[in-house]
Amino acid sequence: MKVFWQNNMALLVVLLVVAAAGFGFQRHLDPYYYKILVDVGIAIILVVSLNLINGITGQFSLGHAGFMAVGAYASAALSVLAAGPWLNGLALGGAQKMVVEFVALGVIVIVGGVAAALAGFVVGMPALRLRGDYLAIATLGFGEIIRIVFQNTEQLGGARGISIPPPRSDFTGVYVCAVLCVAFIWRLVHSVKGKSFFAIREDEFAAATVGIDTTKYKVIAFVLGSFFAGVAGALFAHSATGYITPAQFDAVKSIELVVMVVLGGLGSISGSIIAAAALTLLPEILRGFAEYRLVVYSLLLVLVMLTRPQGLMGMKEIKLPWHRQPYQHKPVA
Amino acid sequence: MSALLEIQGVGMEFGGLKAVEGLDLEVAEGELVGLIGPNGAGKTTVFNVITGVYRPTRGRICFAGERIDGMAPHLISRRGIARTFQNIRLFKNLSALDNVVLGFNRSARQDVLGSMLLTAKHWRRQAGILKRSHELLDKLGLGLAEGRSSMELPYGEQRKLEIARALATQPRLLLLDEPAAGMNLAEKRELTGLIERLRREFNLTILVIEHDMKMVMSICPRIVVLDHGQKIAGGTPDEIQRHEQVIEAYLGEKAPSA
Ligand SMILES: Nc1ncnc2c1ncn2[C@@H]1O[C@H](COP(=O)(O)OP(=O)(O)OP(=O)(O)O)[C@@H](O)[C@H]1O
Ligand SMILES: [Mg+2]
Repeated sequence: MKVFWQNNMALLVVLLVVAAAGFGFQRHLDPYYYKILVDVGIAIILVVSLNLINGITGQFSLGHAGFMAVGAYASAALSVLAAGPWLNGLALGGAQKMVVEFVALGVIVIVGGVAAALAGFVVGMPALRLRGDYLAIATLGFGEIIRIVFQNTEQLGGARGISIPPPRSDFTGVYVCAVLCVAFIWRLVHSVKGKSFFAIREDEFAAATVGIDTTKYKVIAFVLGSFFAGVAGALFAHSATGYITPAQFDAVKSIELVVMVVLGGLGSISGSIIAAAALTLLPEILRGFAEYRLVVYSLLLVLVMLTRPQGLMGMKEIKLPWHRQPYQHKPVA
Repeated sequence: MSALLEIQGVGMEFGGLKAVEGLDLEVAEGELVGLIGPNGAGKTTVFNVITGVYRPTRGRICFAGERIDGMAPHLISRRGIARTFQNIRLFKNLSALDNVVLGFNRSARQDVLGSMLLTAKHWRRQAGILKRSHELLDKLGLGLAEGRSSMELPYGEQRKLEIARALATQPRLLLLDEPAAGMNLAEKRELTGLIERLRREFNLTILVIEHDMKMVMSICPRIVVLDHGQKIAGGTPDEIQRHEQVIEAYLGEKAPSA
């Protein structure tokens, strides 16, 4: 038990700091910046989870927005049908309201994640037998099918979209999820068995001959990646706008996420975080360029990829000083 | 002594090409057998059907009394067969240590939740595997290289690292595909000693493909010769050297000179 606490102390502290920061930001931060911060948090979850599939395991998926949509709509359905009215009926106020809403958000987010994970399993089982381009096309197709299904489901607002009642995903909610997403995926893939994810990307064939059940690991990566895409979708659906339309989860969104993974470095979690933050902030920073914004954005991307084709971080990671892993390399003589 | 590996009438066709044809081969527990033959004879293909990369188009393969032909590669590996590759196939971007750690992967259960929460049990298990990986690397003289990514290692060390990774899966049968290829004389001599040492220490049965005749003849008490997918001879180094068909097969190639 002692080891468990030692291993998780830093994570707990980070979560507490996030909660405190969220409390402060809500009161004292300009709503515009607050919203951007929340967007960055959601992007981090999406990009890190996609990196698990595309970068770390090397299975090129183009359907992440589809899984995000599943999470968003599943959570929206829950809120519209049950959670929203129930919270409304409680008529709470003050601190009590805050706590209940936070817990409700937690449940909603998990439901969104689980729904997306199930979709990931159903899609992944057959699709992961495909390689390279074929997998990319299959997942792209899945994403489009999902979008069209929601577009034609009138109960969920159809193409017009659907408005979602509170609870709202505030800074604290989003960043608690982001921190857990990063920590869990990091710990998994840098564990002794979790190195198998990298092995599959490096050489699937050699991985199988050392006894790694490659299909199982690909499915784990796909399901876990989809879970967090669903979490991000649920958070997105419950963000301040409180309104989602199927068009927000189109193929362009999937491609945007892949661009962020590639820019950060396929296989680097820190790279994904940096890229998610940078590419979410960049359009805001470039507002001054008005209609040339997209041109400048694209030029910057091309420039980075030309100078660093392996992405900003390659496969390297920035490790925090309190980082605990059992990997102790002996010093190289 | 009953055979650990039994290959009966195995054939492997690619389209119309018969890479291996009607191969019978038995390897007893503890043996060290050399597999030789001119380029394109089908040697690597034999390894590929044993390790499940290809399902043989004909015949059967038994390992420790169990049929393994047609089984998935990772299941065959778990039964106790490990291999190295002719054209080194390490996990290039991973460190030498990680390569070996991955070899050990079957000795621990995957515990997704445990590894995410870093539970004490998971932590202990990891430490155990790491300790064994360090020891194995030290045993092969790769201790100082463990932190470096495997593709940065010198060629000879990459070959040794592949052997280390194979050993980490705790095999009973080790298949070495041209382990000395590209090595200089000193490295070859070291490798010869290493193979002998590992065989005794890990109780291994070894099947080795090697083009360096001097090396094969010196370490393998029994040699099997393939040509055009067929076994043309089998016996002691002396018998092989005098075998007419073998000499013929190698004409136009380098003759087997000891
Ligand atoms: N996957 C494959 N598809 C088609 N042909 C193949 C395949 N694998 C091997 N072959 C062919 O089978 C024959 C035997 O190849 P193999 O690699 O087993 O030879 P080898 O004895 O290992 O030769 P070398 O000494 O050059 O390594 C060759 O003609 C090769 O072209
Ligand atoms: Mg060969």
